[in-house]
Amino acid sequence: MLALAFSSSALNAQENIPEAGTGILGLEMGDSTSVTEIVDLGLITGDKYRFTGAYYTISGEELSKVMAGNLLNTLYGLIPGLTVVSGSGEPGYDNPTLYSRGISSWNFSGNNLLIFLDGFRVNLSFLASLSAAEIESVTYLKDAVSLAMYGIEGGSGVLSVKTKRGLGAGKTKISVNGRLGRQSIIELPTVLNAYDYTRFYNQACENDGLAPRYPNPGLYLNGGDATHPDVNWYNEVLKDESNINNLNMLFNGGTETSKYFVFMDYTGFSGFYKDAGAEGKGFGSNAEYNKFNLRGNVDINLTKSLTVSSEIVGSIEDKNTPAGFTAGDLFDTLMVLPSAAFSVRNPDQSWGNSTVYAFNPVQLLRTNGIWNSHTRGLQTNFKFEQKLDIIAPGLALTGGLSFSNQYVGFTRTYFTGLSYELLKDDTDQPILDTLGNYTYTEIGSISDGIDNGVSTSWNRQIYQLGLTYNNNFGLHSFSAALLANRMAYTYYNLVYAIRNQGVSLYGNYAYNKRYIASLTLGYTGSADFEKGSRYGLFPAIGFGWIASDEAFLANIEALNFLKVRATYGLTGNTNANSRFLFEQKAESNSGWLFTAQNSYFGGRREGAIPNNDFTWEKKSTVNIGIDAELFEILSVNLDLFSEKRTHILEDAGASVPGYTGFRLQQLNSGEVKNKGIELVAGINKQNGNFGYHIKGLFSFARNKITQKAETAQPYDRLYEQGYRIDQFRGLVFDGFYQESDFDANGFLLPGVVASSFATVRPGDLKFVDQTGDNIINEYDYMPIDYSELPEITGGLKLGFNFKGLDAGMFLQAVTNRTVSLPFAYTHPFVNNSTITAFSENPWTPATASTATSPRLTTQVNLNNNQETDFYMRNGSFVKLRYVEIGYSFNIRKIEQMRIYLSANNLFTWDKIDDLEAENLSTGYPLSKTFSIGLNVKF
Amino acid sequence: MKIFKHITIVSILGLGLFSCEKDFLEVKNVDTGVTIEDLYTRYSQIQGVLWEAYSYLPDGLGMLWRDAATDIAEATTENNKAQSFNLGIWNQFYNLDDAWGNNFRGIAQVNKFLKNKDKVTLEEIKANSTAKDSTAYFKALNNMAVMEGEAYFLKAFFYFELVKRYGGVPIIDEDMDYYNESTWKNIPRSSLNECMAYIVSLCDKATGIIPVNVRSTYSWYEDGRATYGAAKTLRAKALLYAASPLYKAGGSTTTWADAARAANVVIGLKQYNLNAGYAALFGADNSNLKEIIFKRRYGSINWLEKDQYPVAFAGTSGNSLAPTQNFVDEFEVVADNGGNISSQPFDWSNPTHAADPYTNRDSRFEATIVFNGSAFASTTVETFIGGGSGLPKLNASKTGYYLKKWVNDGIDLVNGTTANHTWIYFRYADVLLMYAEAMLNAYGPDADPEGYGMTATEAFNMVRKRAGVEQLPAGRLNQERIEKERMVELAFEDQRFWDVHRWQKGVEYFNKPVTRIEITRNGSDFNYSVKELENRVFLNKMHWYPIPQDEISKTGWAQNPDW
Repeated sequence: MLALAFSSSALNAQENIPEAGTGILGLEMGDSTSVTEIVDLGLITGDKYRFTGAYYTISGEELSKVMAGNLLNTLYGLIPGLTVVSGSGEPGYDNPTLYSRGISSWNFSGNNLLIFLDGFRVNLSFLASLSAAEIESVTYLKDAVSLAMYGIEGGSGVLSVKTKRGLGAGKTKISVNGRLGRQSIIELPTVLNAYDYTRFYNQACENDGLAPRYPNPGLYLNGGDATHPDVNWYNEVLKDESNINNLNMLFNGGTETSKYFVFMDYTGFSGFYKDAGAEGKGFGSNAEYNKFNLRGNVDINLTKSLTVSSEIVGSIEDKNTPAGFTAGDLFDTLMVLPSAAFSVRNPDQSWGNSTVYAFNPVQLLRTNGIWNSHTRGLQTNFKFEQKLDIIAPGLALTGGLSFSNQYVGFTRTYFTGLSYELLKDDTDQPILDTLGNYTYTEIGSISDGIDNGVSTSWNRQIYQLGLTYNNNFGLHSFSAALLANRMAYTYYNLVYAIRNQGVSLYGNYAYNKRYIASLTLGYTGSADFEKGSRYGLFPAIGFGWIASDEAFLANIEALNFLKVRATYGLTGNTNANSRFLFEQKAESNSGWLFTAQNSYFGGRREGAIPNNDFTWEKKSTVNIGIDAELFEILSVNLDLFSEKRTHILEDAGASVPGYTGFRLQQLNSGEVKNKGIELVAGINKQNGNFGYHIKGLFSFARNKITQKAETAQPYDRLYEQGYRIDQFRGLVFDGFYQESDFDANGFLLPGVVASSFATVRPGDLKFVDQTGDNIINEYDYMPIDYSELPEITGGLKLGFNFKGLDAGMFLQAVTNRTVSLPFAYTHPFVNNSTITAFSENPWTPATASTATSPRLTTQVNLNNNQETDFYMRNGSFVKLRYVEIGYSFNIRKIEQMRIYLSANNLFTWDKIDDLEAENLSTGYPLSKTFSIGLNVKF
Repeated sequence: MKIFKHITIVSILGLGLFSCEKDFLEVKNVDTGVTIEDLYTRYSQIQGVLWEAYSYLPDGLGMLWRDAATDIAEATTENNKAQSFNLGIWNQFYNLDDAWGNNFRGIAQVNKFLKNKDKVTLEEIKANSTAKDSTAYFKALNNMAVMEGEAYFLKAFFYFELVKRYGGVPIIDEDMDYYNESTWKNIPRSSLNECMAYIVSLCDKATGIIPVNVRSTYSWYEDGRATYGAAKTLRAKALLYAASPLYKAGGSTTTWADAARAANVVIGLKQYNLNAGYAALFGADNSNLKEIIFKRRYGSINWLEKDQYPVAFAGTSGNSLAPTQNFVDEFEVVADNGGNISSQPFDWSNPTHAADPYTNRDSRFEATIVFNGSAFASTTVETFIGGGSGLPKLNASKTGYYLKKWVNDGIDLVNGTTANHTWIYFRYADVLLMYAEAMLNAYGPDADPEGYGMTATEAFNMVRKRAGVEQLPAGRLNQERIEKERMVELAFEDQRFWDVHRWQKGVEYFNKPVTRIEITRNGSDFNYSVKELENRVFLNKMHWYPIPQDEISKTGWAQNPDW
């Protein structure tokens, strides 16, 4: 369904729904022919022109541009203000984390966006299993007026997803979509080969005053030989490409009074593990994800005034991974396993291994069995709306209920087997027995087994009831909703259910469609708090002014539309990890051993002193926005916001001395300020057969901790207060220690800064002494650059269509982001680690002026292990998220057929050598995808 | 009509949804926790309160690193806590010996126990007693009484840990109430003298309650709980410290005579004897030996061995403590001439000594230290350059020695076997040396004007006799000999650090380099060369810890001098 340009709606590709006023959950009401835009506000909907809050909507079609096995991974960069931080790339375990307008709390609540699916809350993981083809729109609500009705949980933003409804156009429309994709890994770290490893290892030994471990590195050249292996472990375990496929079908039809939308989707997505089944199909498995979901949406007009609708959604996900390791273990090991460690198979064809590493990735992949995880998710909703025009025109009674849950169970069939270490002597030659055969040490044991159980589950029940009112009296227009809401939520291992209930009032008054005032009042409570303090009032007010309708602006040709809006209000946040902090009970604690039998006598003590003022985190937000349209084609949206979050839970004790021995519960005493901008500008023009669109997105958010209880520090820069949340800190690199810094005996010359962490030698990292005491210790840490969550996210969307041809692309840019290179990548040899390209140019007396990494050593060097900007990098990147070309045409009975080619994550430009900037090539890698698809509409 | 029907149906449905539960937001319908009131009224719960207080006693084996902050040992790993002390970079912001918070929490726990113990009801036990068997009831009754004494002992112990580090600290006699600020805000630091007197008074309260032979009086009294002797020993130790030069300089009015009298009380109990063998005191079966006065059980563990085993053994972590050469030099060379034992100090310039430095040494040498050529776990340890446990091997001892005391060499680290370990807080040899030091400083080496029955020299010689070294003749005992004997006898028992501090000799002993031995093998011979290992830093102000800066910011107290 293509978007049509509208004079005041160019930015938000919306359906042309002939509705008016505040409604519930997108139900069709009345038959007004006026063309009014509706904005989805989660629990309610409203007219777009009169909404004073800040929000952003994208269509489901935009989500389908990215081919991903997880719906959440289609969101990168598309919504300004919503920062999507990637998780891993592992099929089935790849949920990203979502942040709303940067971050404003250091607790879990900082990224606890509420997810609404068709007006009812679900968990983020449920959303992951949906398909883009069933999504109508995704709306992100950002400011106080839109969030206050969510009351005690709304503080971190709301993402409201609406799925497609039946059109009831008489004839059933069928659409079939098939898509085949190939994925390849974006970038893997470069681990040096065996020859370089052994050479550099010898250099490290020499630096440590030890004898060289590998007398003859030359044996490892050219792939080595039977007993001097050169193994590229990444290549042994990973293949270049994997498949991702998707097939779905949707049926859209019905009549005027009863409409339905039925949807079925299958997605298959496999991983990069190579030859997993080579030893036998049941013994090893590639990472695999198979998902099947089904949806039925029904809207029925039972009578002229009563409408009901229902959604039933189910999904089944099957995830297979090798039982021998988790993706995290595997990729951690691949970054540290030396190429010269051992062969995949010994000369006698047994599995190679070594007692030091005890991890043969190929053996574990192919012979250790399969972990199968099975997820079943279900959401069933029912809504009704009864018009009460006979009581008062424009009044309606609405309500609904929803039951949703997910259950994840697992079955693991595991096998363990033997592997053998080829024994070698001090000269790196194999030890032969009297017959001249190689000798081995056996590692591991043989076993098999099966176990199964529950991994996790959750369950939500939601009930809603409310009244809506929409009416005009001449130039005065009123739109209001009063909603009562109740939710019970439990999840695996949670003893006491999470329950919220409350009443929200949303009122909007518009005069002459030009001057707008709105008021939101949320009065909600949560079971987490003490009786009597459970409810909170969350008010928000907003004002809007459609300036372009004013006489003095109406004459300006260029200005088609100008709306100015301002809002202010309060929202709240609870913390699922910290509940009932107002209670104090007795608890168990350490005891003592008595008697000759060493019997343990358990200790008991009072629990921590309760937080008598335990309450939710509060946030006040000011948002000022401008929506404008110029020259008939250019649309601009600007939002400026300033937030202050208070009552953040933190470990207290600011004024309680240690001699009291008091232990206190967390107190609500932290504060953070957060400010930012979101700007969207775009041109959308359609001229007959040819059309094009350009859209630029920009968002910026910067936070600062203004209040945090901390232990006393000697310098202000050591406090977290005054800096951003998760600010990177470290020692400032000042060059390497050179030989000229030491005297003849190897001691530091006076005046040269010494390190408190280790005895330094030439080639070690030297740091700037911030405190002036000529010793480097923790007090010389400085805040460095930014944090890992980017402050600035930008995007550029381009596209055009000509007759049947359409093309589009989206570039995402992220900056003001700092990352720290993985420890294993930057610290070779210690703890038997390998050496990577990072350390290719280590410090030696010869390379002293051009070295890019410290002297090699096999010993733990705490000086070089400190956090320092030497190991941090600018984490900015630009990624071409999608580029797509398609061609649509019709053939005979088929209404439309579209064939398309697309590529995701095609190019990345970043400032980090050899590692991929988003995840730093740790964990299961991120991939780029090429796909070809066919869409047929009947 | 139809419309009204619809409306009523729908409204009823709606109301029904919302009237289900009386209070939807009340989720804790079944209260599963133990209330605070239950904690103190139930006998089974309140005992736990005292057991928890025990858990704040020092983790002896876990604090062995403190001996690496003295001249007797060097920590092998760079990030060991001792290094911050040795480099002199510790201060009020950065002190890895986190005793302030821990001990005050112990004191708070004991105060809570003392305040609330009278709330316990034994009625249930009484009711369950039969006419013929009321042992359970009387056990509970007597136990509650004795536990009060234990509580005073523990509180004295915690205060002693605090005072020996920080000097004067606030005396908190009663439980503090968070909601009543006057009970805990603005408490000043008491003087050093007041604190020492308080510790002594607590010990006296303890001994006023605990029966002299508590385990005979009450057969059910578990082994390991505080005893009369333990409280008297703590008292004697506190008085000895209070009489020492550092405390005198800080305003203490205790005399050496007071300390001698207190030590004599312990000796006079006649409950303790020196164990025949020194090494057995630190082995797996040490917990029942009569020399031990107060101890801490660790159960069957092996983490100590994992840290301390020579690196030739697989499975070590390399976090060992290496005794220094200057410490090894303190062990005398012993000659046995037909039952007549003579000993002389070790001397590198003596060719007989230098040729074979490890033979004929004080028997405590072999029991404390693993040296090149010593037998350990059925192998011979090699700490020479290039040897199995010697440099330059990764994590090898930097001094050429490993720790033997406390370490059980029968443990297989690869298969993860474990053995019993029990840490000793007080033992009789320590009491004898305390007595000797106090008597020496009060009355001289051979005087006994109060008629205690033993002179300083006699007590001193008892310890030396057990060790198998030459007994001192009359008139020869002096403070220096006491210091050397304590160094050798009580090494790695968390004594050296505090002894040197209380003698106010930190600069003399700790502010100089420690040495190591470099052994090179020549065929079957060894060449020994003493070399400097590293310089150490100790400034005069370091005799007292600085109060943590966090505390200073919250209370406004004056900091300890020069910090």
